[in-house]
Amino acid sequence: MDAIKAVQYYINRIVSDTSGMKVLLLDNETTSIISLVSTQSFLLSKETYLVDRIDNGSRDEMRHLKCVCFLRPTDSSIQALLDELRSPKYGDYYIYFSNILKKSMIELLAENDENEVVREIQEFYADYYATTPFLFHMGLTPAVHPLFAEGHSWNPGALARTVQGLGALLLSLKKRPNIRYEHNSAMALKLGQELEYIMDHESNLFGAKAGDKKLHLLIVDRKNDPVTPLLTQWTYHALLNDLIGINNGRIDLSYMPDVRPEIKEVMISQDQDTFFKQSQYLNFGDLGMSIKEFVDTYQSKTQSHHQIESISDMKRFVETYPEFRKLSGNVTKHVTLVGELSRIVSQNHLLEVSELEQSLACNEQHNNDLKTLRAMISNSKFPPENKVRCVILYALRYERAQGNATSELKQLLASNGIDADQVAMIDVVLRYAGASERQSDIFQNENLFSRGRNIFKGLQGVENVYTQHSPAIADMLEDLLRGRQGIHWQERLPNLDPKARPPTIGNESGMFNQDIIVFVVGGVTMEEELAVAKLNAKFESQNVRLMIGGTSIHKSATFLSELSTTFFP
Amino acid sequence: MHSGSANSPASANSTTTSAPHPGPRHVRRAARTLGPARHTRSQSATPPTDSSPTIQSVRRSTVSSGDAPLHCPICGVMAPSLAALNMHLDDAHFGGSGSSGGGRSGGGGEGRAGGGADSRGQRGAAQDDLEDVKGAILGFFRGAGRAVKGLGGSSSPAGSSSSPAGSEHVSPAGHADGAEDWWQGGRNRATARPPRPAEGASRRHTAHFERLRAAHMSGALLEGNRAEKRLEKLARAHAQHGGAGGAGLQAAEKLIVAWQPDADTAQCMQCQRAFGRLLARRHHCRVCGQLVCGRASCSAMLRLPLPLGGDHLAGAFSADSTAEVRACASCLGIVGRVQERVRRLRARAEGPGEVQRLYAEAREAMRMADRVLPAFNALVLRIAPQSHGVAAAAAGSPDVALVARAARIRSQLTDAFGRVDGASRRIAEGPAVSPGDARVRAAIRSAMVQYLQLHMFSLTMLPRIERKGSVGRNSKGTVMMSPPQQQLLQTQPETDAALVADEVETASADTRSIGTPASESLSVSSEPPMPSAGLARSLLSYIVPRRVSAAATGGASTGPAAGSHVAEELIQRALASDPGKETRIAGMALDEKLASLDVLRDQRQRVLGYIAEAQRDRRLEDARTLQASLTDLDVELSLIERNL
Repeated sequence: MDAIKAVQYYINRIVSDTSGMKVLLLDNETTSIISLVSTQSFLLSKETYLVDRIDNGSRDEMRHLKCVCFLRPTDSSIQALLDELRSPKYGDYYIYFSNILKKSMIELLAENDENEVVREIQEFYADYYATTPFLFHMGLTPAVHPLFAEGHSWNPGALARTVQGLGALLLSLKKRPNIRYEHNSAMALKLGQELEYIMDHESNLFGAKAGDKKLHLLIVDRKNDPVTPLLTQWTYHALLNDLIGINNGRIDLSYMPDVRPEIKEVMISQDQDTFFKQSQYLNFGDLGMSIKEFVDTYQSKTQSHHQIESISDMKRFVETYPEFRKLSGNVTKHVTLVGELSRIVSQNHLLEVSELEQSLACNEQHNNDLKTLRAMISNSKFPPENKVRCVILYALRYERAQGNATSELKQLLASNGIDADQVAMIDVVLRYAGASERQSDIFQNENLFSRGRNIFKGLQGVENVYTQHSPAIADMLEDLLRGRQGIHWQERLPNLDPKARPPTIGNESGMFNQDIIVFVVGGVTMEEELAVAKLNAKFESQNVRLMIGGTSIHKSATFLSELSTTFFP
Repeated sequence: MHSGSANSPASANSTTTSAPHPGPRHVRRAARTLGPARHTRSQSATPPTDSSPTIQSVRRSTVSSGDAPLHCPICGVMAPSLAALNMHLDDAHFGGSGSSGGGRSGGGGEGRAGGGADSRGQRGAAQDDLEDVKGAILGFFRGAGRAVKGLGGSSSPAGSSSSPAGSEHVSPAGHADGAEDWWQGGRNRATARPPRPAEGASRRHTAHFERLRAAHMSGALLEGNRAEKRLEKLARAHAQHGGAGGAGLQAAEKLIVAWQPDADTAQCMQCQRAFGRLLARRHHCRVCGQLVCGRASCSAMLRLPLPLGGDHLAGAFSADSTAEVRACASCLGIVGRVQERVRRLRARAEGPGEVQRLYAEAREAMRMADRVLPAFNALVLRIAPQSHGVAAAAAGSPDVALVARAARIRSQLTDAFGRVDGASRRIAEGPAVSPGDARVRAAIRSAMVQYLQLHMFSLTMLPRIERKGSVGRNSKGTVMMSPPQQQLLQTQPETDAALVADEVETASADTRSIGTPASESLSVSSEPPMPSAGLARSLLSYIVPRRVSAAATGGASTGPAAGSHVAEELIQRALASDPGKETRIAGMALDEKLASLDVLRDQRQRVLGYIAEAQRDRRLEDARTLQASLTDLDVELSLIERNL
C-alpha cells in the first residue's frame, strides 16, 4: 500500500529488464507519471541515456540504441508507435503499456512491425500519478478531460480514464477490493459499477490477492464535502501546491525576479529530499522553526569547513563534502521556497482570511461571521478571490439558517468591484453541493443532536485557530477505524454488490488487518492527504493502512474552475 | 495491391495462414498469459511440448512427417526441409542475409550455399504460376506451424543458436529470445527472481504478438520477394534493350507481368479517380501491372537494380543505376519496406560501431569493479581496526598479507576505473553525427562519471591504512620493497597501458610538477603507487573542463614554475601564522612524511574535482570554500616536500 513504490517497481522493471544502451520513449501522460517518482540519475544508472517523447517527430536515428517504450494505450500513442515501427529509428523495441491492451491494438502493432523490431510487449500497470505514498490522482484537468458532462454525471472520457487509473492502481497493488460508494452520488455508483465490470471481465488479472488482507475501496463524492477544497491549507506541501503550484513534483520559480538560475525550477520529492520529507506535514509556523534549524545546521557545517587546520579536518571535510554539497543546494531551495511562501501569505493577508474561513467552516457564529465578512469585503487589501471564497463558505454553512444574508453579500461584492463571473461562483457551488445535494450534515448545524456534538467539540478548545477544520472524510474514516460506525453508516456507504460479500466493514471494536483506499470523485485535497497520513500513524497498531486519491488534486482555484464550466447557472 | 487485384497473394494469404494457428494449444497458452506471475509459475514449469528435441530432429520430423514436399512459393524449387527452404528463400529471393547471415549463423552456412546455387540455376526458367504459389504457400505454412511447435520445445541454447539465420524471416521462433518466450508463454520474468515486496501485476503479450506478426510477415515477405524478383527481371529486360524504350521493351515488360487492359477500368486503382489528361493519364505499374494515374500519391518512378554482377543486392538500389520504371504506390511501399529491411540487416552485419565497442569495454570494466569492490571493502574493514592510532599500529603487527591483497585489488580497481573513465571520455569526445547522438554521448559520460563518483570513494580508504602498516614494517629510515610493492610495480605498466595517451601525459605531468628527487623515489616505494595517484588525478579531471581546470589549478601551484612561486608565498604566510608547523613536520619520520604526502595528494585531487564541479554548477561559495581548503592542502604538501 504505497503508491510511489508501486509505480517505482514498474519503472525499475522497464529500465532494468533490458540491458544495454537505451532510449526511453514516453507519451505526454507517462512522462508525468514517471517524472513524479523517478529521477534522471536513476535512469542514467540503468543505462537509459535518452528520454524522449514518442510523438516527437524530429528524433535522430540511432540504430545502436535499444528502444524501451512506456505508453498509455491511447489511440494517439498507438498511432505514434505505429509510425515509429514503420520506420524504426532504433535497434530492438521493448514496448510496455500502462494499461490493458485491446486485442485490436496488438493486431495493429503486429501488422505494422514489418521490420520485426519488437522484442517484447507487456502491460505494466503504472497508470496513475503517485504524489506521495498515500496520495494518488488521475491527472484529470478540465482542458484534457472535463469531469462533468451535464450536472452530476460523468463525462465519458473522464470516466474511462478514471476506471483505467483505478484499475491499474488495484493491479499494481495486486488487490481486488470490496467496493462501497456514497449513496447519494450517481457518479460514485457509476464508477463503482464500471470498475466491477472491468474486474469481472479481466478476472484472470484481478484474481490475484496478495496475502489475506482485505481491501475496501470507498468511492466518495466531492459534493458531500465542498468545504475542504475551499479552505486555505497551512502545511508545507499544501502551501506549495496552493500558493506556488506543484506540477508533477516540480515547482516553477522562474516568475520570481532575480531568481538564481539553478532554482528556476526545483524538484520536490520525498524520496530525494530529507528536509522535505520531514517537513511536508508541518504547518507554516513550525515550518519557520524547522527551516531555521536547517539553515543553522548548514551554517555550522560551512563554518567547520572554513576551519580546516589539520589533515584530519581536511579528511573529514572531503569525506562529508558530497553530502554537504547536496545539503547546500537543498538549503537554497527551501529557503527560497519558504521565503516566497511567506511573501505570498503576507501580501494576501492569508492569516486573516484563514481565520475567518476556519470560523465559517467549524463554528456556528452567524452574526459574528457576517460582521467580519462584511468588513472584509469592504476592505480593499484582500484579494477578490479570497472574498468570494469566504462568501461561498458562508453561503454553504448558513444556507438554511434564519437571516441568511447571501444575496446581500453578493451585492456587496459587486459594489466592491468584483466581476459578476466571480460572484456567480457562489451560486455555482451551491448548485453543485448545496444542502439538498449533500447527504451528511457536514456543518453539524441541522439538528439538535449534531449541534450538541458541535458544542461539545467546541468545549475541547482549539490548538491552532488556523487548522481547526478536519475534513469530513477524516471524521468518517476515524469513526470507521474506531468502530464507531454511526447509525447512518450502511445507508451512507452501501456495498456495490450487497449479495456477493459480507456488508460489514469492521465491527464495534474497530477495524483490523484491512486496507482502505478512498477515492474522491471530483478531486482530493492536500488536507485530506494530511488527515490520511495522520490516521495511518495513529492506527498502525491495528494493521490498517489507508490511501487516498481523486480524479485530480484540487486547490480552491482549480476546484472552482472545474465547477464553473458545468454548474454555471 | 490490396485493392482487390486477383494476383495478389497477400490478402488471401493472411486469412488462410492464420487459420491453422489459433488451435487449442494456442488458446491454452493465451489463457496462461493472462495470469499474473504468481499464478503462472506452476504452469510454466511444464513446457508445452513433451520432449525437447534438437533442431536436427525437428527438421527430420518435418521431412518424415509425410506431407507433400516443400516448394519454394516463388520459384517452385523443391526443398528437402523447412530449414533448407528458408535458406533458399534467403539466398535466392531475399538477398539481405547473403551479406549478413554469415556473421550470425555459423552452422547452416554450407547447406545454404548449396541451396542458393541450386536455385540460381533454375530461377531463369521459373514462371510465376499463381496456383503453384498458392499450393506452395499452404504447404509451407503447414510445415512452418509444425516447426514452430518443435522449435518451441528445444530449450537447449545450442538448438536455438544453430537455427539458421534465415528462419528469422519466416518462422516466428527464429529469435533466440523469441523462442524462449514461446514456451514460457505468459510466464512473468519476475518469477525467476526472488519476490520483491512491492511487486505489481503485469501481463506479457509478446508470444501472442509474435504469432500475429509471423502470420502477417509471411504474407508481407512473399509480397516483397515477388516484387523484388520482378524488379530483377525488369532490370534485365531494360539492360537488354539498352535503355532505349519502345515496343520491344514494353513487350518484355508485359511478359514479366501481365498489364491490366486499358478497357478494364476507367479509374485509377489507387485513388479511384477517373483517368484524364496530364497527371491523370493512364499508367501501368510495371511491378503489378495495374492501371494507375500519374499523381504523386498514386505512382512514381522506381529505380531498377543493376541486372548483372555477382552481388545483385549491393547494386539493387544503388544510386548509379539509372533505369527507372513506373510503379504504383502499393508496390512502392512494398519495395520500400524491403529496402528498409535490407538496410537494417546490413547495419547489423557491419557489427558494433565505435561507441558500442567503447561502451562494451566500459561496462566490462564496471562489471569487474562491481565484482571486486565488495571484497575490497570487506578487506579494508578487516585491516582498519588494526590501524587505530599510530601507537596501536606501531605496537601491533598488521597483517602484511592482507594489506598486500588489498593493495593488489586496489590496483585492479584503479585499472578498471581508469578503463571506465577512458572509454566514456572517448565516447563523449567522439564525433557526434546528430544532436541526439551528442546528447546520448554526453549522457553516457555523465552516467559513468556518476558511477565513478559513487564507487571510487572506498579506494581512498587504503592509503591511510597502509601508512600505518608501513610504520610497523620499517625499522630504519629506508624503504624496503615488500611483496605487495613488487606486485604493484609489476602491475604498473599494465595500469599505464590501460590509460589512453593523454592520461599518461597527465600522470607524468603530475609527477613532473612534484619535481623533487624525493618524490621520484616515492613513486617507487610508497604503497599506493604514484601512477595511481596520477590516475586518480586524471580520473577526477573528468569533471574539470580543461579551461576551468587550468584556472583552478593554476592559482594553486600545480604549474611547475609559476605555481611553485605562488606556493612559496603561501608557505611563508602559513609559517608566519603557525611557526610550529614546520618543526612539527620536520619531526616526522621519513616514511611518515611519505605516507602523509600520499594521503594529501590523494585528497588534493579530489578537492580539485569538487572545485571544478562547484564552478560548473555555479556554486561559487562552495568553490571558494574549497579553494581555501586546497590552498591549505598545498601549503601542507609543500612543507612536507621541503622537509624531505
